[in-house]
Amino acid sequence: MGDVLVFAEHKHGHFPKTTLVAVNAGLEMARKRAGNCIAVVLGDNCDGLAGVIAQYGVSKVIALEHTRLAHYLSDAAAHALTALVKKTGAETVLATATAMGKDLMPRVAARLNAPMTTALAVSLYCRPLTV
Amino acid sequence: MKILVPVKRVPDPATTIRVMPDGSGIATDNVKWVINPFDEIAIEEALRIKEKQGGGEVVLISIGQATWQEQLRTGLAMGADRAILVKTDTPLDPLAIARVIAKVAENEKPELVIIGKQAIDDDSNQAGQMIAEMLGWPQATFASKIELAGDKCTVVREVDGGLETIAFPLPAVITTDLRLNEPRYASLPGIMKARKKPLNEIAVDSLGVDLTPKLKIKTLAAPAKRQAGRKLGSVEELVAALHTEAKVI
Repeated sequence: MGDVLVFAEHKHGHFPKTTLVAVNAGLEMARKRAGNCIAVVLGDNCDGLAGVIAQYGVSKVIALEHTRLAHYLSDAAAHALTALVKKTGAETVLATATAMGKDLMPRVAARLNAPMTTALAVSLYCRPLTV
Repeated sequence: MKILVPVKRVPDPATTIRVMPDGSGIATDNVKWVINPFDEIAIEEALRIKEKQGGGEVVLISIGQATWQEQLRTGLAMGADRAILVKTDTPLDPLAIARVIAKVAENEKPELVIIGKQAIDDDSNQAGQMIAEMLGWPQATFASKIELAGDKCTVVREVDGGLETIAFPLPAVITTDLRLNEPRYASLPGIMKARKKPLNEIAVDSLGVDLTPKLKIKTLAAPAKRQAGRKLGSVEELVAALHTEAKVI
């Protein structure tokens, strides 16, 4: 089973459109790999957000709550997300190529000793180079 | 303060890059090689910190072939104190690069690692964050302002739709964004002096880190050519085209 974990970035209490794009890519990838698409919401008191993202077709939403996750910081978020990847045994982790996603994901990759690529395009695993 | 600045050699962004016909890489004949522009900003920032503090050391590190010396000498000419070239003939993936730099950082014990946020050739945007994770240090990515006070550092970061200010203790890793500074040119006396500055070469195998590639580039392709536009005779035609062809209205 190739489960896909999607880091659902949220800002000021809502999900930017980019997060929904990532969820969509996660759903497509999970379908191809015959796995589940799981959305991960990190924060403090994020029940409402978890309910919102649950409406976008994901198999499961994991909301990890801690006061230290109330404001995004790379080390705390990397620690939390890595722990969830290990716990769920997910095959792929997706995040948006936003300032937050780019700040976070290499740390997660290094912690997992896993390869990472950026900016997935129309067809999965093909990335355009842009400056 | 000791600052370690990793430097990558990349094709000059001002030249036209051609992809090899088989997609295995880019054509490197007649390519002019330069320091990755973001790393140049990192060197400049390290030099400014040293100048402001009136002391310290700026150490450059690069991982590649013997010819990469050229870019390290350029960095030394800008004012860096010494350079380390970790020699390897095979290109390494970001994880391996980060492991090598983290290992050297363990030996060199700098208070700061300042590195470009990404290389303009592969745009990975990974090495800095990975180094921070491997060393267990805080990171400040996409920095547009750095302020140091004792062993505390405050960085203004460029994030989506605004700026974020974070504070953290040293040692730490900072990755540079475009607006951090305007790198200086090497002066003629600087270039003369650079020839005599120490440039140590070490074999990558001597570091004893895992270099097994996890990532493989299967193929490269040039961006698709933009299609030519066309002129329409009337507003009606335009509306019809937007409606039936582009399907935007």
